[in-house]
Amino acid sequence: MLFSSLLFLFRFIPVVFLVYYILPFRYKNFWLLLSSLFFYAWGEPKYFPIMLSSILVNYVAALLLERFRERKNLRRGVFIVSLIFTVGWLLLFKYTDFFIQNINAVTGLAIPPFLSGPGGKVMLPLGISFYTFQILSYTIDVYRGKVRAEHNFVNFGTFVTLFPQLIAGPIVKYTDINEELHTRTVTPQMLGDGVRLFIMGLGSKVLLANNVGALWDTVTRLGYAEVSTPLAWLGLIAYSFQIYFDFSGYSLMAIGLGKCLGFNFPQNFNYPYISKSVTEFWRRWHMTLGSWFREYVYIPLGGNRVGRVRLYLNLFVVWFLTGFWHGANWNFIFWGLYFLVLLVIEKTFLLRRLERSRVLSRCYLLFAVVISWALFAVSDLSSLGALFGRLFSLHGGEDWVYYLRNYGVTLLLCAFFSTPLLKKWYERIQNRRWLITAGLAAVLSLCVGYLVDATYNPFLYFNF
Amino acid sequence: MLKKTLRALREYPWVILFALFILSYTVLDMSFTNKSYSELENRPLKTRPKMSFSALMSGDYDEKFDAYINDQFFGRDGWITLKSRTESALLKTENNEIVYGKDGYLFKKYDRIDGEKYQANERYIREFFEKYPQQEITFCVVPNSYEILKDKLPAGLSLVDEAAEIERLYAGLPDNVTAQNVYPTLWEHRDDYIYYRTDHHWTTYGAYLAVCAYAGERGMIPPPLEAIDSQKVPNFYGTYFSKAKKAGAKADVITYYEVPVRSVTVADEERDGLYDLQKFETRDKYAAFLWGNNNRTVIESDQNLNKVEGKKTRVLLIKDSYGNCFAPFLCYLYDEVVIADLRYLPKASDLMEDGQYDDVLLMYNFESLASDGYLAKLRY
Repeated sequence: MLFSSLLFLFRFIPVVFLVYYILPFRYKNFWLLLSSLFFYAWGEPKYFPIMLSSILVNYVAALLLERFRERKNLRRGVFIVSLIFTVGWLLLFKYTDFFIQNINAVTGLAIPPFLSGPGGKVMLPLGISFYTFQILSYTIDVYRGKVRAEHNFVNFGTFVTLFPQLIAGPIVKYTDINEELHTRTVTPQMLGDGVRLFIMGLGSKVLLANNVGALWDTVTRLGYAEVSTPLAWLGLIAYSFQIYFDFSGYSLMAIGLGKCLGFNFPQNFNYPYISKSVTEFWRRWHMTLGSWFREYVYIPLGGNRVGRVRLYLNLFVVWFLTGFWHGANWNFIFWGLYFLVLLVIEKTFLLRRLERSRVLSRCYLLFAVVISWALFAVSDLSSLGALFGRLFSLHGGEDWVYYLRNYGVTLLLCAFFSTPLLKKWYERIQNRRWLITAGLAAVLSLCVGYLVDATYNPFLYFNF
Repeated sequence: MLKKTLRALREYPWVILFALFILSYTVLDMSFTNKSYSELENRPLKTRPKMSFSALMSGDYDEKFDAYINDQFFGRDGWITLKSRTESALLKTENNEIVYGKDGYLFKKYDRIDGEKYQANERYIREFFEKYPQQEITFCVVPNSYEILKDKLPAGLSLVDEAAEIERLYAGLPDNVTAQNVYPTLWEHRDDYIYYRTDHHWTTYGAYLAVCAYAGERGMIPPPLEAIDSQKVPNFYGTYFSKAKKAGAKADVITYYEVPVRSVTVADEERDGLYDLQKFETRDKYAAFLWGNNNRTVIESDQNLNKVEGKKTRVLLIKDSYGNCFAPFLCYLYDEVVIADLRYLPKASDLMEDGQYDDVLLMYNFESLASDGYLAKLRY
């Protein structure tokens, strides 16, 4: 089920939350687990058992890790088996076809694809990249002795499946919410923040992301080789806004819903487009993914307390994996490595200069990021070539006039909401609660209007 | 406890409002009886899907249920209008793939042809022509309104070049086929009311101009428009409007001509007249012409101005809905007019072998020719 649907807003939310608030605390997690499983299975029940099997295996593995505290080798064995099992599903579903394609291309064999149906459309188990990482965080932390194993299966199942963050993040580590799983209260302030964040997130997704996304969609439909240079740029800028508002909108909705349930999920986006360097950008963009990789890959590899060569190798591994995590295709790998190159350049000499400038550094960052989205958005290399051909050699035409007129205001709004200006304003008017109420009511009404007459409401994370 | 929370929540009035809105709206939405048809959108609405295990497992049920919730959402028309107004406030000149042109004209944003379907359809048509080398066939492709009313399109919008495509379709036809180009006459009359503002069809006058071009081409006397009794039906909001739901759109006026006929047979059933007058009372007014789209319609009349001595002349019109307001005028050119819609027929050969036709006219709007899924029936 998607957050941005009438079904979620006007069937799922009222039923789930009403029952949740009425139930005594000891049943709340069980109810959340049930609701989350329903939420997950709605629309695609067939991959449901895969998630359950991962939950079960890791639940048992953690208990064993605790029991065999003294037996090192056995402990390691259990850990590795559970790791292989959990990551195995991800590899199998997400990456098998990519490997088969490449083996076929290199060897000339014709191994049939594993998942791709006749239309070539791959359907991954929904949210597998997200929940796999969450489960891993738990088992790894138990193995390291950082946290105690969860004995209650319902609590553990609730942690993994918790519907707000199940399908599109933020990636919540077990240690982020393990205390709240056992005891939590919903304060009025949490409700206030939760509802506000949920509505703002919904607005990001439905009013901003979907709206500008339609422009990128048009450019794709017309064909990159058919549009003028200005329109190609408009399209790519639109995509940059789409992916930001879509993704951060989902995270906001998740955080908001979490608060209404008594959970405090970690922040996932912090105005990434105002960064002055790629280094800063990645501290502000999809923060939970970055911190996951830092904690479970980069630091275990030795982090930056290693020799120069090893450091670059570590960075390479992290950015290769970051790219690859976003999709099983070469373009995602290039996308990750592109950032690696920029980060290394910044690390060696550029960063200090960037931080001194106010305007130029931001121009550099925006340019670098927008270009990266081209790598991200276009998975077929020849189309990517066509797009770059349009972006960097001048092709005239009047087509952009129409699209600038149609999307100009929306793009300006997107630019405005990419900055913390609204947040600053909000902090000033915090006491004028009726003004805030009116603003939120307007956003919510518009969202409902756009959802009722939806023509374009995509879910971008099927590849993740 | 609850009281205390509620008191504390006064600091956050939006929480209470949000909860009230979601709850009351959910109850409202669930308690109202379903509508099966939307007047505003001119289409049937989805009703509650049937649950079955296999549908549930394939995700089919869920998809249908989503669509059902959307279609039956309480106050749907109001929400749709809210969206359309917001789009306009964002200075957009389009909504749901419908472009807002000048003078209240709405246009389809037809910026890309589905190449595969188009090529296949072109092939079917060619095969059809070659299958009946003895039969005189006229091939007529009618452009969409935007092609003729280019001046009314918003600046910078480039759409499919239908004129060029139609040229291309007309090139290299076999000897038995004549291309009937209606582009010049429509272009010449582009300042007249030849296309609806809010609908994807041409007006009856546009169709009349095409009949005149057709008659002129073969030296026939055209219908005497002034002499035929006509009626006007105001307040027509067509399919483009139904998609865009543009607030403040200007309604169209339908004109229909009461051509005196001897008999009208629609799908083997005798009907009273050429028009389904009841339809003029509804939203779907264009469906009044020729009683909507039907498999086979036969019109007999005594209006033929181009009598051939000792012979009952017949024409076969194979058409999409553009033909529905066009067909009545053919009564002035032939004794009997047979109208066929491939969407509702098993195959074209039934028609062709059905009888001797003096002329066969294959007439489609360009967009439906390029995207229609039923032209394959021409081969069989």
